[in-house]
Amino acid sequence: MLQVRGLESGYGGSRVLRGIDLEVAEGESVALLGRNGMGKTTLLKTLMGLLPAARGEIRFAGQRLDGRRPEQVARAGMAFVPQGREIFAELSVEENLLLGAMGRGGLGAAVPEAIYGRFPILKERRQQRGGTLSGGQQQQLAIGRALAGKPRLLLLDEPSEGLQPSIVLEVAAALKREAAEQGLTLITVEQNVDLALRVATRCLFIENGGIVAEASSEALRRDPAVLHKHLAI
Amino acid sequence: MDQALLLLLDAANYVLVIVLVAMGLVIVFGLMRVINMAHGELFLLGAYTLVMLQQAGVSYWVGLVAAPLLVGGVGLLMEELVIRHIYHRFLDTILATWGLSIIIKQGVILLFGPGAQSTTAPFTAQLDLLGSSYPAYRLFIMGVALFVVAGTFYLFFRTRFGLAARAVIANRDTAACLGLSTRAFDRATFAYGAALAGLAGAVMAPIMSVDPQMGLGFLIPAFLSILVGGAGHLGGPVLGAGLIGATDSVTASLWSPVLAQVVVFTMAVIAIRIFPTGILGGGRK
Repeated sequence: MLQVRGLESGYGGSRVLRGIDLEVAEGESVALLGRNGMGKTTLLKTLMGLLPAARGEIRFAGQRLDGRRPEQVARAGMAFVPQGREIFAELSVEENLLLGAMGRGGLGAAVPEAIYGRFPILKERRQQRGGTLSGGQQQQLAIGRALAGKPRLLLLDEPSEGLQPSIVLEVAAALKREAAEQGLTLITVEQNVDLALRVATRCLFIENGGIVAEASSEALRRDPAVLHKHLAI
Repeated sequence: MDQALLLLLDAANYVLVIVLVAMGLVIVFGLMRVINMAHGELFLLGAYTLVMLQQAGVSYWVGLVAAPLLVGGVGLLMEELVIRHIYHRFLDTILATWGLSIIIKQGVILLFGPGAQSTTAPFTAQLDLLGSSYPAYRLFIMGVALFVVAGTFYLFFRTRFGLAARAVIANRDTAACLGLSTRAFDRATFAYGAALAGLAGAVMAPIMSVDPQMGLGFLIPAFLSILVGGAGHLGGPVLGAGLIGATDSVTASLWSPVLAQVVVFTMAVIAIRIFPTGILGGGRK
């Protein structure tokens, strides 16, 4: 579903990604692991079109997406839950979700009822302003907003950041269910190895802007040596 | 007593037109972070659209509808040809729109000459208000301005289009990642802001002398209103224009227009000193 070849990008003159090759199959869940500053967020932003690809190509569902703007990438079926969640603090929960639906569905779109089924707290708080939610609720809102556009591929940047462990588990469970039931493809960038191993079936290790190793989550759970080597934990 | 009423009406009139002009500026600034120095010239174009059409024998009412449409189209062109290429370079947008303002003004001088033109109001009746007579056309101006200001609030706070536009204003990248076309909103809001200025120009033209410098007379109070009221919310220019416009017209008619300028600027300086981002705040950091 997603093929990335020789992808290079960065900020200004500096190159952060130095030739990423990546293939993700439909329905697969992949985690990107690596220490800070290795290019994980840069990769997601480049996939989403927020950063221009300096070189290389991105193919998604048969379309070339490198050089496209974020809204075009989103309409092709990719969604992004950014680090820090970036919900619209001044708008209500419902409006946040509505915007997710409208992005792909047009101005007349409605929030899919399934979102409220998946995250009941959002239904309860639908009239509340997004900024008044707790961190965990905001994360659910950010994920719900991305899912409201019915994407085929969801990119998540540090979904566990700033959340209590119990809520991390909840988020992981919701993502897994969504992936299993809707056939959603996931790419998750995570510092929290526990969450990564829970959600993803395959883990890729990024170092200095390139993918240096990969292993199945199962293998990593049996033998964490690879984890220690690449994450220095 | 009747003197006070007339003064109040004149002040309200001035305030409402400033709100129309300032609102266009705020919408464009909120969405694109562009300070449109040519906004006053869009006002000018609205007035000259009416001049041109009336000279060609077309009715005032056609002119009133044509002016915002035509000026909105000019806004669309400005955005497409100039602004979109530089909208992330703040200082350059000021220079570029200032350049555009000169081009428009000189274009108008080439076409119509530097002198004043006149247009005629569609009706010249005087209405009897609590014993004093007041031009009906001035009341009409207020009606139009109130209607358009209310309509703009409705558009931005009660419609799906407005919701999406506010999302783009609040966080451009996030809105784009959801699939909202930021380009389309840039275009639409720039054209809309321009159309507001064009409408203000056309509706004011019959009660003032239409000359190539007239835009500045509205641009400066509009800018002051935004600075005082705050650029982060649509209510900012309304509040700011209320304070600036009312102070200006009351001082000007009770004492002198020169003193009014002094009072208005002094008030603006004090307000900005106390509220650096405007009374309602500047919104985004």
